[in-house]
Amino acid sequence: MKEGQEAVPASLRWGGADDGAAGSEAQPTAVRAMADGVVGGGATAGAGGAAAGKDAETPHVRVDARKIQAALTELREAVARVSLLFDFAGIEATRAERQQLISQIDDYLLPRLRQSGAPILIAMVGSTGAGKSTLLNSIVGSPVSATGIRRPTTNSPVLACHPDDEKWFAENVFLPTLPRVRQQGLAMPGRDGLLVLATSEGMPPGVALLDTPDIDSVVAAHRQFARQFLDASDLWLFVTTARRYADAVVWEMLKDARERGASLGIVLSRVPQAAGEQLSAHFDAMLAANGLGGAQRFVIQETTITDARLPVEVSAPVRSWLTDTAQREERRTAILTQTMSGVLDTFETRIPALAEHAQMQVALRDELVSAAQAAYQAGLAEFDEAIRNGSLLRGEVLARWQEFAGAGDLLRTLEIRKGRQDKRKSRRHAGAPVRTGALKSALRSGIEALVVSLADRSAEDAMERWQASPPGAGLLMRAQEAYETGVPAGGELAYSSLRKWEGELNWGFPGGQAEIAAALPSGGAQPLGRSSDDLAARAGRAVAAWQEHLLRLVQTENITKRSIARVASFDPEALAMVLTIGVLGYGASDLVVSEGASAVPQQLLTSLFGAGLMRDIGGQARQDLHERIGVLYSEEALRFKALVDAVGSLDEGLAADLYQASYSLESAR
Amino acid sequence: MSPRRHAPPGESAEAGAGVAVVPSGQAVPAGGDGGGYSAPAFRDGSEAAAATKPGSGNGGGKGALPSQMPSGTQRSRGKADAATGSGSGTVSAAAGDGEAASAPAGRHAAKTAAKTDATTVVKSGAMTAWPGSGAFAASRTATATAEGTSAGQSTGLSAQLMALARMIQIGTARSGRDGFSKKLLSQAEDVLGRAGERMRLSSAHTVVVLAGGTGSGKSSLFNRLAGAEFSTVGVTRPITRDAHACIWDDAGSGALLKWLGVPQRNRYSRASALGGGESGLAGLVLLDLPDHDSVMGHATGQVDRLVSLADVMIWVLDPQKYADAAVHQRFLIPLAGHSDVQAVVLNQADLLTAAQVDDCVGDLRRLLDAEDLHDVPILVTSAVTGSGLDELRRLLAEGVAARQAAAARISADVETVVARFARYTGETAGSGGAVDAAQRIPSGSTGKLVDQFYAAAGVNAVCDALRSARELRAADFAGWPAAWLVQRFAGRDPLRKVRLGLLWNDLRAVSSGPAGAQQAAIDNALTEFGDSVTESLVKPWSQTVRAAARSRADAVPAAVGEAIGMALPPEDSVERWWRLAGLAQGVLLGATAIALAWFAAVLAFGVLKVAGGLPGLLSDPLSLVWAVLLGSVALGLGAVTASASMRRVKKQALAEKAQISADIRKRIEDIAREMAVVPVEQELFEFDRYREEYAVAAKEASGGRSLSTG
Ligand SMILES: Nc1nc2c(ncn2[C@@H]2O[C@H](COP(=O)(O)OP(=O)(O)OP(=O)(O)O)[C@@H](O)[C@H]2O)c(=O)[nH]1
Ligand SMILES: Nc1nc2c(ncn2[C@@H]2O[C@H](COP(=O)(O)OP(=O)(O)OP(=O)(O)O)[C@@H](O)[C@H]2O)c(=O)[nH]1
Ligand SMILES: [Mg+2]
Ligand SMILES: [Mg+2]
Repeated sequence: MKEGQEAVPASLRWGGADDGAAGSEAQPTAVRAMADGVVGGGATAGAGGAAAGKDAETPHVRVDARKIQAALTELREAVARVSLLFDFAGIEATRAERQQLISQIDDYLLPRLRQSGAPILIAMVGSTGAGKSTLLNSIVGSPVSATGIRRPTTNSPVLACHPDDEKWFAENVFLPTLPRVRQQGLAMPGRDGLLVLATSEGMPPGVALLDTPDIDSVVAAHRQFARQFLDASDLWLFVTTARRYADAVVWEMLKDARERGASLGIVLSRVPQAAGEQLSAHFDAMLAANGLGGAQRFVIQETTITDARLPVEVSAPVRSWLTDTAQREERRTAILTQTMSGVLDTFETRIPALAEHAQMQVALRDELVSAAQAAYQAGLAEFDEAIRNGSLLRGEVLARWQEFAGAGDLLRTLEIRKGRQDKRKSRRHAGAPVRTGALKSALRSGIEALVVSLADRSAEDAMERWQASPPGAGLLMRAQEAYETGVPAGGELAYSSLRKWEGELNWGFPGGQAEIAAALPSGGAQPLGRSSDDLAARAGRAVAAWQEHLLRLVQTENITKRSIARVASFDPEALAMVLTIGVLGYGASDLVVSEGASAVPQQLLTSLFGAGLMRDIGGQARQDLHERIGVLYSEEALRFKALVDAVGSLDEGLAADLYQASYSLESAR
Repeated sequence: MSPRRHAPPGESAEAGAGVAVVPSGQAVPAGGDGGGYSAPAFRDGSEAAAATKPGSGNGGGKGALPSQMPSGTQRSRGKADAATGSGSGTVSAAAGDGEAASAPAGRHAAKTAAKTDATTVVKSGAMTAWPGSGAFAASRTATATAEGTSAGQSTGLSAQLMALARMIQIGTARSGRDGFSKKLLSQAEDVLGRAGERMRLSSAHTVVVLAGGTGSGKSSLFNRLAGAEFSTVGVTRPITRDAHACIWDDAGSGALLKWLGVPQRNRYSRASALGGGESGLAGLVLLDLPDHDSVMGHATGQVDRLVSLADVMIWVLDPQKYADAAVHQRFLIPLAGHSDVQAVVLNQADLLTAAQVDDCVGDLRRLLDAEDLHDVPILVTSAVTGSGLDELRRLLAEGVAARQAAAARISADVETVVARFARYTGETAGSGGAVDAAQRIPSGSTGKLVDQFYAAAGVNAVCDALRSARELRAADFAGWPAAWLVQRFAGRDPLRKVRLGLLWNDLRAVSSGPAGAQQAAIDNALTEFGDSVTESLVKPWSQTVRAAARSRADAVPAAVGEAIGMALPPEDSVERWWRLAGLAQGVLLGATAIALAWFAAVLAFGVLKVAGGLPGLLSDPLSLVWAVLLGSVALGLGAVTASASMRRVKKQALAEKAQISADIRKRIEDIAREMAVVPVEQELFEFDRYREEYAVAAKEASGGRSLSTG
C-alpha cells in the first residue's frame, strides 16, 4: 500500500520531479499518441550518450498519463485491499494473481508511466543452463554475470546498462523492495534476493539487460523471482537451447508472454552446425503453431565458449538488434506500446475476475457464519420439541414427580380453605420441601443435560459443516496451526503485527495468528466441536432462573380456576412444580408414556387451571425457556463467528470499487 | 551378437512364464486362508486353486488375532522351504531355459491359481491370501538356494503384503474426511495390485527402465547397450514416443512385456547373442522410455506408469538438465525410499572437461543427498564416446544376476506407502509400546459411566418412591388405626388409597417406554466416556472409538428402563407380620373399645344408678379407675406397637431400597458394559490389530531391504 500512497502525490506532481518539464501537457501530438496507449518519449531518439542530458527538457509523458496513473493508483489500492481469507479451490492461483497484479502495477506500469524516458528494460528469461548469462556477457563484452557448469548458476538477477542510464535503476525509482548491489569489474555471484547492478560502456545506451534466474530448476524460489522481473520489464528475450526447446516449461512461459501481449524476442542457442536447418525449421513450426510466429527469433550456433563469452560474431545479431531497438524511436515506441497495452488489456478480464473473488470471499464468510448458526438453530428447535412433547418427563424427573405426587405431599400442600388462611401448614408439611426440592433439582438437571447434549450435537454439526467446506476446513486448519504455534505471551503485539505484515505481503490477509489463536477456546480448534466447558453451569443458572420465573408467575398471577381458588389454596412452590411438569408434558399426546405418568398432572392441571388457561401459560413458560436457552446457544455459536472474525475483516464494497477502478482505467486509456 | 526381432510371444512363452514362477504347482501361497493363517499342506495345484477362491477365508475374522502373526509367518516359511525341496528340479530347469517342458497339469494349476489370486486381491479387496506370493517365494527360494543365499526375504515380503492388505481392509472401513485418506488407501491398493501382478510374472527377468528428460540421451544409451540402432535418435526434440524394449534371453518374457504394455513392434531380443561379456545380462529387460518433460511427453502419464512398474530405474540426466525440477520434484523426491533400485547416469560427459565432470557430479551428489537419495549411485557416461558404459553394464549385470530387484522394488513400494500409514498408528500423548485394548479405558471411567446411567435413570428417586409407597402401605396395616381414623375423620387425604395403587403402576412406567432414561443425560455420559478413552488416540481412531461409544446410545434408555422394571418387586405385596400387627392393633383397639364401654357402663350403672342389680364390676364406681387403666393401657400399647412396627417397616423398606438399588446397579453395570464398553473395546482391539499389522508391514519392509542390499 505504501506504493499506492506514494503514487498519488507523484501523479499530482506530474511534470515536476520526474520530468522537470512543467508545460508538457500542452503538446498535442503527444496526446494523440497516448490515445493508442503509448507511453514513452523521444528523448533517446538521438545518439545514446545525450539521452540523459536531454531528459530534463523533453517531455516524455503525455497528458493522459496523469489520468492513467491516477486510475492505476486507485486500482492498485483496491487490489491491495482484496483479502483472500477463506479458502476455495484455486485460492493459491488467485493469491498469486493478486500479487502479480500489484507487482505489475508497482514495478512496471507506474514506473513506466512516471519515467517514460527510462531505458527499455529487457529481461533475459529461460531455462537453467540455456546460456542467458553467457549471452549477456557476450553482448556487454565483459563478464558481468557469472556462468557455470553447476545448475542453476544465477541466483540474483544482474542488470546491465550503460553508465549514463544507471540513475533509472536506483532503489527509489525501480523495484524499491529489492536491495541493490553495484558491481565493479569482475562477475561475482550475487546473494539471493539482490539485484546486481552492472554498468558497462559496452552496453548501448537506452536499453538495459536483465539476466534473470532460471524458470525450471529445483530451486523454486528462482521461478518466482524470475516472474517478478518479467512483470517489470518492457521486452522479454527468451533464451532456450536445441536440447530444451520442446520442454513443457518453455512453452508455458511463451504462452504466458503471448497472452499478455508482451514484446518478445526468442533465442535458440547451441544449435549444432549440421542440424541447424532442421532444428530451426522445427522450432519455427512450433512457434507458428502456438501463435508466436511473428516474434523476433535468433539462432546461435553451437560454439566453444571462451572467457564465459560467445565469439563476437555469434552474438552480434542480438547485440545489433538491441542497439537498433534503443536507438530507433519508432521501434522503441512500438515495443513500449505493445507491452504496456498488452498488460492493460489483460486487466480488462483479470480485474473483474478478481472482483468476483472478492465478492465470493464475502459470500464464503457469510456461509461459514450461517452454517454455524444453522447448526445451533437446529439444536434449539430440537430443544423446543423436547420440552414440548414430554420426553423430559422420564427417568429421575418422573420418579421424583411420582414420589412427590404419589406419596401425598402434593395433596398435603393443597389446603382446603376453611374460612381463612390456615396458619399451621408450615408445621405439618415438614417433609414436603425435601421432596419438592428433589423434584426441582431433578427438573433442573434434566433440562441442563438436555441443553448440554444438544449443544454438543450442534457443535459437532457445525464443525462437520465447516469441515465439509473448503473455507471451513482451511480456517480450522489455520486455527489449529495458530494454536499450536503458540503466541508468546509477552511479545504478542510485536509478533502479531509482524505476522500481519507478512500475511498481508504474502496472501493479502491481515488476520494475524495471534488474533486467531486468541479467538480459540483453550485446547485449540478441537474443543470447538464440543459445547464450551461452562455451558452446563450457565444452563443450570438459566434453568434456575426460569424456575424462579414460574414461581413468581404462580405467586403473583391469580392463575388457579376461580371455582377452585375459592375452596383451596396452594403452597406456591408445589404449585410451581405442578405447573412445570404440566408445561413440559402438557398436551404431549404424541408420546405413549403420557398415559400413566403425565396423566396425573394433566388431570390435576386442567382441573386446577382449566384447559385454555393452561395452554396459554404453558406457551408462555415454554417461550420464556426457549429464549433463555436461545441466548445460550447464540453465545455458543458466537465462538465460531469469533473465529471467522479473527481471520480479518472483509470490505463488502470492494468488488464495486474494483469494477469502478477498472472502468476508470478503461476510460483513461 | 546379431539381434533378432522378438518372436510373436505365443501361448508357449506365456505359459513358460507361469512355469518358471510356480514350480509344479506345489508351492502354495503362504498362509493359504489369510484369516487364520493356517496353511493346509496342499498336495496339488487344483486344490491350491480351490483354496484361494475369494471368500474361502475370512480376512477380518475372529481368528485373525495379531498375536498369531508370527506363528503364521513361521509356518508359511516352512512351506516355502518344503516346496523348494520338491520343486527345485523344475525351477532350475526353468531358470536355465524357459521353454523346458514341465508337467502340463502343474502348468495348468499354476495358471489357475495365479488367476484366482489376482482376482481375489485386485478386484475384491477382501484379502484372503497373498496371491502368488507363495509361488514367488518358492521359486525365489529355489533360485536363492541354488546360489547359496538366504531365503527369508520373500516370505517376509509376503507377510508384509498380507499385513498391508489387512491394513487396507481396516482402513477402508474407516475412511472418510476424518478417517483414513481415501487417496492413500487407493495408493496402497495399487501397490498391492502391482505387486501381485509382478509376482505372478516372470521372476527370471528384471525390468530396467531408462528414464529422463528429452534429449538426455536415453535412446542413444539404449542403442549402445543393445548394440544396435533399435530406438531412433534425433536432433529435434522429442524423438521417442513409445517405450522400446530389449530383452536379454527373452524366454518367458512375453507376458511380462504385455503387462508392461510395450508395443509388439518395439520389442527386440538379444537371446541368440548371449555369451562373451554379455552372459551376465541374461534376464535383463531394458526399456527406453519416452521423455517426461517435453510438451508432448509430460502429460501422457506413460512414463509414470512404466516407472511404477519397473524393477530398476536408471535416470538419464545430462549437464544441462540434471537439476531440473521436472525430474526431481516429480520422480526422484517421491522415490526417495527406492534408493536400492535406482541409479542416476550423467550422460553426455564428453561435452565437459574432466574438471567440469567432477564439479557436475559433486553438485548432483549434493542435490541427491539433499533429497535423501544418499545410496543412489551416480554413473558418468557418454553415449557418443562410449565411456562409462562398461560400468553401467556391470551395474545392470549385478542387478539382473541377483534377481532381487523385483522384490526389492515391491518392498520399497510397500515401505513407502506403509510409512504414510504411520500417522494412523501413533498416539498423541506419550504412551509408547503396545497397550492392551482394555487397558486403554481409564480405570475410573467405566464406573463413572455407570454412575451417570444410574443417575440418568433416576434410580435413587425410584427407590425413594418405592420406599415411601412401602411405608404408606404398611401403615394401612400396622399403623395405629386410632391415628389414621382421626386423620380420616378430619378429612385428610381421602384419595390416598387410590393414588397408592396408581403410584405402584407409575413407578414401573418411570423408566420404561421409548425414552426410559433421560436420553440427553445418557448421551452426555457416553460422550464423556468416549472422550476419556480417546484422549490419547490419533485422529481416525479417536473418532471411531468415540463413535463406537455412542453406537448404541439410542438403545440404552429402553434397556435401562427394562432393567429397572425387572428389579422392582413384582407386586405390592403385603407381609404376614403386618397382618399380625394389624390383628394385635385390632385386639388392642377392641380392648380400648371394651374399656370405653366399661367406663360408660360403670358411669351409667355405678355412678348414675340408671339400673341396679348388676355385678359389682359394672356398678362399683371404683371400677372406673380400672376401666380408665385398661383403656389407657390398650391405647398406650397400641401406640407403642404402631410405632414399633412402623420403625420395623421403615427399616425393612430401607433395606429393600438398598437391595433393589444394588440390584439395579448391577443390571445397569451390565448394560453399560454391553452397550458402551464392549463396542469401545472392540474398536480399540481393531486399533491394536492395525498397529500390529503396521509393525509387520513396516518392519518386514526394512528387513527385506537390508537383505537385498547385503
Ligand atoms: N558450448 C556451449 N556452451 C555454452 C553455450 N552457452 C552457454 N554455455 C555453457 O553452458 C553453461 C551454462 O551457461 P550459463 O550462461 O551460466 O547459463 P544460464 O542460462 O545463465 O543458467 P542459469 O544461470 O543457471 O539460469 C556454461 O558452462 C556455459 O559455458 C554455447 O552456446 N555453447
Ligand atoms: N555429445 C553427446 N551427445 C549425445 C550423447 N547422448 C546423446 N547425445 C545426443 O543427444 C541427442 C538426443 O539423444 P537421444 O538419445 O535421442 O535422447 P533421448 O533421451 O532418447 O530423447 P527423447 O527420445 O526425445 O526423449 C542426439 O542428438 C544424440 O546424438 C552423449 O553422450 N554425448
Ligand atoms: Mg545465469
Ligand atoms: Mg529417445
